[in-house]
Amino acid sequence: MYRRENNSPMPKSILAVAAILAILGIGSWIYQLIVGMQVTGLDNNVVWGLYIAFFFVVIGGGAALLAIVGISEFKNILSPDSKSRILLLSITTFIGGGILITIDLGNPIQVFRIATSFKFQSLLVWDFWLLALCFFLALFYLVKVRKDNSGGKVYGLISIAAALFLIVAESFLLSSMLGHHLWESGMTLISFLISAAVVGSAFILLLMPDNRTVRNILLATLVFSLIATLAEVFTGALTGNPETKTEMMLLLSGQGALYFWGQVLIGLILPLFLLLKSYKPIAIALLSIFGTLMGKVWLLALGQWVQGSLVYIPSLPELITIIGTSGIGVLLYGVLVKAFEPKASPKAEQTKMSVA
Amino acid sequence: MRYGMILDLKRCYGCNACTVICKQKNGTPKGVFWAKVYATEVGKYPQARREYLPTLCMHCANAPCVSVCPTGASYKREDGIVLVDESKCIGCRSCMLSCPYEARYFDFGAEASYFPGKEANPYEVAQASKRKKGTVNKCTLCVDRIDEGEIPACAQVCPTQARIFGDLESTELQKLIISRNGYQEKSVVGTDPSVYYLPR
Amino acid sequence: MNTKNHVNILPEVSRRSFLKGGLALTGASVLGGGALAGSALAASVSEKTGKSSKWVKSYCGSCIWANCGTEIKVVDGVAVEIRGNKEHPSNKGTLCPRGAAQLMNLYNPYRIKAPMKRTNPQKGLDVDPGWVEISWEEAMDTITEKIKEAQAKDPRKLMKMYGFAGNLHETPFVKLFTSIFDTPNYSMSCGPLCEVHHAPAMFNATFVDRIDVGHCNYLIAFGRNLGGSAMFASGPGRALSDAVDRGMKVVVVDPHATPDASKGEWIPIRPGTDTAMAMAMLHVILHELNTFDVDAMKNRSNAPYLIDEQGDYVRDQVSNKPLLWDEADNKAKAYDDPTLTNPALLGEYNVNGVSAVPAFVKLRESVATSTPEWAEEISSVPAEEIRRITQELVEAACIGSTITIDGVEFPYRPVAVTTGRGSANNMQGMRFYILTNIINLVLGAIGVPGSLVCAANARYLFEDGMMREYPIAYYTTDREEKFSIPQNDYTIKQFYPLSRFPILGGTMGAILDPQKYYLDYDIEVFFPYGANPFINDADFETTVKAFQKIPFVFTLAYHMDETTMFCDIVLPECSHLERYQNRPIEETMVVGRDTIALNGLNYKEPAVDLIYNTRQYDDIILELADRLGLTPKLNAIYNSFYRLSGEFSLDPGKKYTYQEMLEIRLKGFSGDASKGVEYFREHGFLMKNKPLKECYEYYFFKGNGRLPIYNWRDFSAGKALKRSLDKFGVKVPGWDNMDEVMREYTPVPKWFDNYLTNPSDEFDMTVANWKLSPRNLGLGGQDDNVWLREIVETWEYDGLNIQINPITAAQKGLKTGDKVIVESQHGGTVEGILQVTNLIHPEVLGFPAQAGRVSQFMNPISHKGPNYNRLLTYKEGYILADNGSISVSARVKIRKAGVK
Repeated sequence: MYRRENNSPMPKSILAVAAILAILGIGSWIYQLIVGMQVTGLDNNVVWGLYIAFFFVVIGGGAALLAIVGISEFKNILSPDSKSRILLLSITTFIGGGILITIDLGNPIQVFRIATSFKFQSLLVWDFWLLALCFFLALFYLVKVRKDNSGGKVYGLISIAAALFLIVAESFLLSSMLGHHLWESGMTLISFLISAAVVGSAFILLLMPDNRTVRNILLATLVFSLIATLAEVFTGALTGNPETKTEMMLLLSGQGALYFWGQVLIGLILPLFLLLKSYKPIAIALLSIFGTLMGKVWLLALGQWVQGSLVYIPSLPELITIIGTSGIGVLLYGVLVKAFEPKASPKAEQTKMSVA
Repeated sequence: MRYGMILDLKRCYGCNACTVICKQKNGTPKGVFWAKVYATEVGKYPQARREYLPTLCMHCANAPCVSVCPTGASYKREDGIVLVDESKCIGCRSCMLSCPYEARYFDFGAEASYFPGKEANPYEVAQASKRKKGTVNKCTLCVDRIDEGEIPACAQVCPTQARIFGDLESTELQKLIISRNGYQEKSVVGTDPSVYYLPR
Repeated sequence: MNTKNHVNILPEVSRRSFLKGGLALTGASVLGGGALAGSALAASVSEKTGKSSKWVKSYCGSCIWANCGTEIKVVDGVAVEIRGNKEHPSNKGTLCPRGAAQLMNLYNPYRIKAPMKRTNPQKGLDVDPGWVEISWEEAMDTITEKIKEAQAKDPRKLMKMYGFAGNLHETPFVKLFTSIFDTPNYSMSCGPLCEVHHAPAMFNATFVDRIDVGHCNYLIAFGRNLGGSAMFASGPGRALSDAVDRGMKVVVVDPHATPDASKGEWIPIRPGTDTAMAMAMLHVILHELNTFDVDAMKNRSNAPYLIDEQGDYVRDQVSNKPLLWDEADNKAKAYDDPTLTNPALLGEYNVNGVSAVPAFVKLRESVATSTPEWAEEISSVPAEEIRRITQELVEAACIGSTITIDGVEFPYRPVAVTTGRGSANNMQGMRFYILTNIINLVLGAIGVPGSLVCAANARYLFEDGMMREYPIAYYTTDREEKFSIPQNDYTIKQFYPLSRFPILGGTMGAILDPQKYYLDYDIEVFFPYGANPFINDADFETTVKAFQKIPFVFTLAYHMDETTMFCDIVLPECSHLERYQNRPIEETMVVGRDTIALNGLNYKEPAVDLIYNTRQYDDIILELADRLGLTPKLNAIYNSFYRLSGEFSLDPGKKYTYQEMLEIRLKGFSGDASKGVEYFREHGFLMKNKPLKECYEYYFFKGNGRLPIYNWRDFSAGKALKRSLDKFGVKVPGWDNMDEVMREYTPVPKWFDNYLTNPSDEFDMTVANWKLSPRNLGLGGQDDNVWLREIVETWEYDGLNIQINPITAAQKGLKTGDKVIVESQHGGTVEGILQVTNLIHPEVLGFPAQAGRVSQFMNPISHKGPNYNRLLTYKEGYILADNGSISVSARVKIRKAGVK
C-alpha cells in the first residue's frame, strides 16, 4: 500500500488560512509596538511569557530536527527528500524563533546590537550566535543534501553538536537567572531536552504522518515527558521547600492548574491515548506541541511568580500574535517548500519507505 | 571608590518618604518604584511587631544584570554605580530576571499620566523625556546629583537618617558596617551588593 | 573626589553631642551638600538645553506643623522637584512622604480652576450642583451682598468654619476672622476629634506638650504618635530615632502595634480603658512602691493644699489664699508664707473649724483600690505587666538627681508618660490625660529635662500659687459671668466649660433647631474654609441637613470636596506652593537636642506662576474687609496679633496687599529693616532660637507656681456650670442625667463604666483608628494625591484595610481579603476589606487612616476604602460632657458582606 509522505506542496487552503492569521498577527504586533508591551499579560514581576515560551518550544523543535538529520548520517533513517523537508522545517523554526524574539523585545529597533556586541558573558549572546549557527548549518546542510543527497558524517556531527548546544544554552539561560529557584536545578536542562525531542518528533510526524518509527519515538518522548513533568511537580508539591510547595500547589490546584493539567491531560495523556488507540497523526503532533508549550508557560509563569500576585495569563494580543507567528511559520514553510521543489523520483521514495 | 548605601534598620520607621521622593525626583511612572520599603509583621499577638526593609538597586559589585545584558546597555561605572544606557537597551528584560532584588522595571508604555483620562500635567510633561518605552529602567543612585556633588534623593530625604550614602571603601562606612554587624541581602548568591543593612 | 564629602551620616559626635547655647546642629553636618546649596540658589540657564532653571526657597505645606524648609526646582516655569532645605535646622534637608509628594498637589487636574456658582438650588452629597463658571467680580459682589444683608439684621448671622481639610493653619486670618467680621460664630470640623490641649495647658502652659526625648530614657505612650508612626520630618522622627539609638526604652500602650511600638514594647489595651490602667499605675507608685518625688509633691504641686469635705481648698479667712499644713511648726499657712518649710502631705487637720486633708491624701485615696488586678479586668492589660512597667518607670525616673543646663540646675527626670489623641479623645479622655500628667508630676517629671515640656512660647499667670495657662484663665470665672440664655453664639461652648473648640454636634443641632439650644436667631451666611465635617467628623447625615438649611454658603477651596457640594459659590484657591505666607518655626510633639530650642519664622512665595485663576485666602479676606469698610479694623487687629508697633506696623488707615503686610510682619519679626522679604526670599527662614534653659518651664515656675495633682480648677468649673444651668433653669439637650454629667468634673482620678466599656451581646468589638505616614490629618490634599494614594495602597503595611486579630478572625470564620460590613452601636456602617494581623488587639477592629471620599468631583482614587468616622457619633448625650469632644471609638459588630 502506498503510504502518504506528505511531500506535495501545501494545500492552498491551508496557506490562505495561514496568510490571514499571519496578517492578524502582524497587526497585533504593530499594535503592541505602538501602545507598548502593556498590551501583554506581562508585568514587572513576570517579564517573560508566551512569546519566550513559544520561542523555547519552536527553537527546541528546530534544533531537534537539525540533530535528527545529523543522526541520519550515521543511521540511514531518512531519504534525501525527507532530509530536505526536515531541514526546511528546521530553517523555518529558526526564522520563526528569530521573529518571536524580536516580537518579545521592547525596543526591537536596536535588535542588531545582539549581533554587534560580541559580549560572550551574556548567555543571550551565546543563544543568538548558536541560533544563527544552527540556521546557517541547516541552510548549508540543505544545499549539500540537495546536491549530494547527504551532508557527510562530519557535517552531521557538527549539526548534532550545534543543536545540542543551542538547547543547552537556552536551558542555561533560565537556570542562570538568580533568585528563580524553580529553574535552578538540572531538571531544567532535562525538561528542555525532552521538550526538544517531543516537539522535534511531532514536527517530523507532521511531515511523515504514517511513519511508524516517528510514531514510536514520539510515544517514547511523550512518556518521558509525562514522567519528568509529574516527577518534578509532585516532588516539589510533596517534599519541596515551602516556596516550591506553594508554587506546585498553585500548579496542581491553583491559578496555574489550567497550564499544568492542560499539559498533562491535553498535551501528554490525550496524544498518548490517541497514539495507542486511534491514530490521528496531525492531531497528535499538534497536541504534543501544545502540551510542550503549556509546560514552558508554567515553567516561566511559576518561575517568576511572587507571593501575593496572580499567576501570569497571556493577553489576547499575545495569543493573536502567537497564532499569527505560527501562520507566518506555515506560510514560510510553504514558500520554502515551493522554492525547493523536490527533485526526488518515486523510486527514491520507495527506498526510503522500505527503511521505515 | 565604591559608592553604596548603608540602611540602618533600627532607624527605619517605614514612612516611605524615600519611595515618594524617588518617584518625584526621577519622574518614574505609576507602578515603578526604584526605592521602596518592604513592610512585614513578625511574631504572634501580643509579641508582634512591624519590620521594614528599605531598598533600592543594590549596585552589586558582581552585578548579574550587567553580565546577562546582551548589548552592554547595562553597565557599571568605575565608581560602582550600575546604570542602563537606554539607547542600547533592546528591552529583552533578561536583566530583570537575573536581578534577585526586584530592582529593575520595564517601561510597558503605560499611560504617561497618573490621571487617567486627563492630559499629562506640566510636571509629567517635564519628566516625560526621562522615560523610554520598551526599555528597562532602574535606580541610578541619583548619579546626576552625585556628579554635581550632592547625595542621592532618598538619602537626603530620610527623616530619620536611616539611609547613609557614601564610599563603601571609606574608613567611616567600613567602621559602621563592622561595628553594627552590617550585612548584605541575599549575599549567598554572590552578587556582593553595594548596599549594606544594619540590623535593628 | 573627596569621599568624605559624600557621607550623609551625621558623625557620631554630632548626632549625640549636647546642644548648647540654643545653637542647633545645622544641615552642614549632612556632609556633601552644604557647600553647594548656595551656588544652586541662583537662577541659571543651562547651556546645553537653553532652559532656565532655579531653586526657590519655600517651606512645606502638607501638615499642620509647617516647620520644614524646602527648595523647589523650577525649570522653564514648571516645578519639577522639591527637596528639603539642607540649611534649615528643623528638617535638615529631609522631608516626610507627604512633603515629598506635593508636586502632585500643585499639578492636580482635579483642582478648581475658576470661581463657580451653583445653578441647582438642591443641595446634597450626591446632588449635581450644576456648576457654572463666573467672574471673580460677580462672585465677590454676591458674597459681599449676602454678608451685608445678613449682618444688617444681626452681625451674628455670619458664621465661619475651619478644620483640617486641605489647608494650613498658617494664615493669621483664620483665627482673626471672627473679630474682623464681628461675629462670635465659628465652628471647627477638626475640633471634636482633637481633644489634646487641656492637660498640656494645665501642666505645661502650652497648647501641645512635647516630649524631650533628647534626654528621656523611659517613655510610655498611650495612643500617641511619637514621630515615627506618622512620620514628621521636622524633628520628631529624627529625635525619636536618635533616642532609640541612644537606648531610650519605648513602651506603647495602644490597641494596635504602631511602628513606634515596634522599636520598643507594645502593650495592647482595650480602647477607652486607659484610665483604669493609669489609675493602677498610680496605685502601684503610691501604695505598693511608695516611691515618688517628695520635693515635687511638697514644693511644685498642690499636693499639700488642704482640701475640705466639699472638695474645695481651705482658704485663709483674710487673704483668701489656699492653706497648707506646715509640719515644722504644726500650723496652717498660706502657700506663699515665707516661713513655710515642710508642707504636710499626709494626715488630717482641723483648720478654721473644718476638717481638712492635704490634696495628696485625696489623690492617694482615689487610687487605693485600683489595683493592677482590678485594671486588668477592665483594660485586658495583665496586672504583672502594669506592675513591671510602672516599676521600670519609677526606677528610670532617677528621683533626686539633677542636671545642669545653661548653668541652671534642673531636676533630672528622664521619663515621661505621654498621651495622644487615641486615648485623650475618648471616654474620660480629658481626665486620663490629666491623670498621666499627675503620674509625671508625682515622679517630678514635668517641665524638666527628659520629661514632658512646653511647646509654645508659654503665656501664663499664677493664681492661688498655681500656674495657670493664659487661655484657660476664664474657665472658672468668665464663663459663669458671661453665661447667658438665650445663648449669644452657636459655638455651644458655654455648656462645655472645658472645651477648647466649638461643639460641632451642638452647633449642627442648633442650626437645625435654634430654640432647642436657646438661640433666638438663625445663621444666614456660612463660610466653611478648609473644613470638611462630612469626612472628618461623625454623623454626616445631620451635618448635611444643617448645611442644607443655611440660606447662603460659600467657600474657597482647592478641590471640589464634600463641603463644596453645599456651597452656593465656590472660589478657587491657590495651592500652598502658589501662596505668599509665613509660619513660625517651632517643633511640637517630640523634640531632640537639636530641635528643642528652635524658634524662628518660615517664609514662602509662589514657586511658579498661578496655574489656574485662583487666589489665596488672605487676599479674599482683605478684599471682603475692604468692601465692608473694615480695613482699618483689620489692620489694627493684624498689628496686635503679631505685636507689631512703630516702624514695623500697619497704618490702620491704609489699604495693603497681603504681600505688603507680609513684608512688615517679616521686618517686625526680625526687628531689622534689612531683613524683610528680600532676606527671606534668599534664605527661606530666620531663626531666633530660645536659650536652652527656657525650654524647660521649671525654669519659670520653680518657686512661683505649682501644678495640680488635685484638679480643683476643673472641679470648680463643673460647679459653676451647674450653678448657671440651675440659675436659668435650662437643660442641655441630651443631658438627661445630670449626675453623669457632673461626675466628669472629678478633681481626682475616678473610673466610670461607659457605653464603650459596657459589654453588649450584639456589639462585641470596638474600633480604633490611627494616622499613617502617607496619610495623617488629610491636610495638603493627601486623599487625592496620586503618589500618596499609590504608596498607601502599594507599600504601606496597613493600607486601607480593616484589621482584625487572627484569633478573632478564626472565631468568626473571617479571613484576609473578605469583604466585610462593620456596624456601629450608633447606627453607622462601613464596608471594607479585611486584613488579618497580629498587630491588633483581639477585641478591636483597626481602621488605618481615613478614606472613602464621596465627592464625585474629586479624583476617583480618593473614593476607595472605608470612612472610619461613620462609626462614631456626635449625637446629643454622646458628646463628652466636660470638653464637648467625642469618643474616637465605638462598639461595633462585624459580618461578611452579603451575609445577614
